Amino acid sequence: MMNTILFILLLPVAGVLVNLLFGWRRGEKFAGRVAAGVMALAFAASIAGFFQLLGLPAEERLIRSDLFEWIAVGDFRVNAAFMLDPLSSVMTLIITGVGALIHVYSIGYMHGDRGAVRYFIYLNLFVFFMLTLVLGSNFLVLFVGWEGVGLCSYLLIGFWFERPAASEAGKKAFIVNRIGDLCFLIAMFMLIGIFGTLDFGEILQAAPAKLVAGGGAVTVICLLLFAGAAGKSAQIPLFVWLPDAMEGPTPVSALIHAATMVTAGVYLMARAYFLFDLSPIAMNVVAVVGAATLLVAASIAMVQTDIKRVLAYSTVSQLGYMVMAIGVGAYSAAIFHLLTHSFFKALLFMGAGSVIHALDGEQDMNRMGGLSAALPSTSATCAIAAFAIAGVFPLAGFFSKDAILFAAMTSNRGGIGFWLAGAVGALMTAFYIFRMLFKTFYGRCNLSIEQQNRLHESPGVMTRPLKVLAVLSFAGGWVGIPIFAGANLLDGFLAPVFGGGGEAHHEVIFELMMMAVSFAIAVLGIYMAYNVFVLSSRGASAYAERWPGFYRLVFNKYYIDEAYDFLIIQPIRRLSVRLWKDFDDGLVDATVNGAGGFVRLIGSAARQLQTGYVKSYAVMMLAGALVVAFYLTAGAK
Amino acid sequence: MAPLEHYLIVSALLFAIGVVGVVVRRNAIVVVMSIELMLNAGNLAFVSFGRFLNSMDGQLIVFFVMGVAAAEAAIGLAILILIYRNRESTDVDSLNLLKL
Amino acid sequence: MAGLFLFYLMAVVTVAGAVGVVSLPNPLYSVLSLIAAFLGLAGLYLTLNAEFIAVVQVVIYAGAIMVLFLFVVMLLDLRREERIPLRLPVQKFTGALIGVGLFAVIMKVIFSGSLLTGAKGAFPAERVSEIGNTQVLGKILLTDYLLPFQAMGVLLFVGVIGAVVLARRRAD
Repeated sequence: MMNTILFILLLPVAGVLVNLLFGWRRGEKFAGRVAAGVMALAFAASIAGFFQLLGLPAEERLIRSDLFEWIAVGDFRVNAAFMLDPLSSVMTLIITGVGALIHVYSIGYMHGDRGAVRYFIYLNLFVFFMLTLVLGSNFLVLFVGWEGVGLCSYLLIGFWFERPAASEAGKKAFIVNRIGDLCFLIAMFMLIGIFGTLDFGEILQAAPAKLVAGGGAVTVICLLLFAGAAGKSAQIPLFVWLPDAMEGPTPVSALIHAATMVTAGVYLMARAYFLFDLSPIAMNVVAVVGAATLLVAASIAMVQTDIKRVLAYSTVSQLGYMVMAIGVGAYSAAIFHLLTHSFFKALLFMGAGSVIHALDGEQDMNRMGGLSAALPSTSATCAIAAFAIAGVFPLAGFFSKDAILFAAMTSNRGGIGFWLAGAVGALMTAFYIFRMLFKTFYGRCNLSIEQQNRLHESPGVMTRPLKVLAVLSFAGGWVGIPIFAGANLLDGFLAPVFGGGGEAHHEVIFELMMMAVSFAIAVLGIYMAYNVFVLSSRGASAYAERWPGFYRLVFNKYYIDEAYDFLIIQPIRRLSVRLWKDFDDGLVDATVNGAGGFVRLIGSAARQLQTGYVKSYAVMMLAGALVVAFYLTAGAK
Repeated sequence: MAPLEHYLIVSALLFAIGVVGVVVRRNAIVVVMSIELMLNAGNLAFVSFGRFLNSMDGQLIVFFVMGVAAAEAAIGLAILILIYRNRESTDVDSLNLLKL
Repeated sequence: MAGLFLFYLMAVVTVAGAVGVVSLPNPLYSVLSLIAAFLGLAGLYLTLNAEFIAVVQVVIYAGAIMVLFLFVVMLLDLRREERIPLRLPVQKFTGALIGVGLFAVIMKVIFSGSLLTGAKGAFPAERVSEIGNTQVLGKILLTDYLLPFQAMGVLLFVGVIGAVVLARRRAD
């Protein structure tokens, strides 16, 4: 049997190589087709892998592929090993499936860009690293993918590097992520110290014996892992990079900063659930941070005017849901939301990209409006996505968000507070997403005449992926229908990974009540948005005027960037300047230059011997011969 | 027959004169000729020792030295011609390109 | 007695020629006196029963090689030499000093009285004369010294090519 894992992994690499070798000469059309083609094949391979797993008995659904021994130091061994289990299979399907759609979309979106070939190379490279991340069977291979996607994210955020804002945003993303990566590394070192291995399976086996439940070591490890995840998955306090990352091309935002890379942190924690299970304190921290993130980000999203920034904060907020789900122990609910979120958020981003494309780069929602007539496919698909993320029955977001809210309420780690945070977040989610929808596609048109004349629906290569994602956003949640035993397919599929048979079952009537409440919340949010942005003549400004201080605070994103600047960046800069002037110039450079000057002094004395005249060299040679002759004959009488 | 020492004295004289020529003279051709003198001083010593030690090896070595000298003369003079072509002079004191 | 006389005569010719090479200002005269010195050396070789070497000395050295020198001297027309003072005047002094020093060292070795301590070879002059100097040389050359002999051929071949390559005028 062919090695499916290798196939999945190496297809994007093949795309990178082909485009590196031939893409430059053959042009963007070729590069785009190759990139999208390998993604389609990788998706096919992922499906094959999925069915291979389904063919195995539930408890043995694990395909391993140990390629070679990578590191061997003393007793410590790390293999370049990969594995496909239900969790990584779900992730692989998301990455290659949504990824393939976004690649196709990119062909249209990047048409005419000078760097299109480079773009597709980066994109395929990103997919390779992302697959490495989710397929790695130990922490180190995962970390390779983790760093690789960070690199590709940096490259793609700063893709239009001529724009200072883009290259700054790339650097910001990289540096902020570095903080998390460092914590992740330290966590790995501690794991090596305790277990002597980084293999998931081996640590899973040994964890109960070697770690004290609720003990200090496991708590520190989990908190460090969470810090790493918080960097990647944009949680408080490390979420500041994600909104800036919107400087990259919009399909990149859809793929990396909505569907895949930012969910890596959630994946990491789900993968290491057996560690988190041992540490209630860490779990609590995770849940609280997730809840705080979802509220803060959702509130910021309500007042942003840049369409992509609304979506960026929305992503942060939705990631907060997933993290909170992890925190209350609802791992499969987190993965479920990850799955549905990747559908509707990618769709929203690509819809926004379609709008921006139609308006030649305009991103301010205040200058849009009434675009539904000109962009029928885009507006219709975006509306479906908006209903999905708002959590309207029976769309995808409803089921996944409901699963999280239900777990937040009923889990023994959850509580009414978490449920309340999620519910308020859901209300805000419905509000901000429909605010965006109304301001962009409906209402009065604020475009200039010139823009209106050039308005056009995007080409089919862009709208077709939107339609596919719209179907998924609509129906994608049906893999996780609760209540009826056996109907929650995803839960059942993931159960072997997370051990045990999922959450305990409750009264059907209770579940139905919960669902009704969350549905009501979604409708209420939509109605509020409708009320403010469609019915009211003055729009949101009335509310902004009523609470000016609060509005300003939220509008300026709680001044978090400014606080970082004041509290962290400036002191470090002052310290750096001090070190540079006093220590580096004064001590290090002085020493080095002094040594150099000394050598130069000796040299200038010694060079007097070197006249450059052949004759003087001959004289010295003969003089040397004379001395040697004297020395050799000294013994003679 | 003269004793070995006498031959060696002649050889030493030739060698010393050659050394002086190399150091003192500035015409590159004369310098090359002085080097030939030094080579021949060595040859004379070889043949003398060989004769007094009943060996033919001295003469054989001379044979080879002559071959080397011939090759060296050919190459050396070719280089001289090149230098002369470039500089209109064979004054070794004007050859100071070894110094930057 | 005649051999001794011949030695002194040839020694004087050789040394005088050598002095001429170094001291005569005109390179042409230097070449001619070097030929004289080589002829003297050939005579010295004769007194050492090295007839073949003596002939080679005359034919190859005094003949072929010195003709080469003469050609170059005349080709380059090098008569106007050494009007300009020495770049490094101390050279004359140091040159003389080194020459005298080396001579002194060699003298010291010669008169240390331990010259002929090596093992005697198989070819005393009488035996060589019986067989013939050239024949003995040729036999040894093409048996014991075959490889160096071949290498010498390669060396001369390379020398010829090198000389041609160097002295050739570039097409550009």
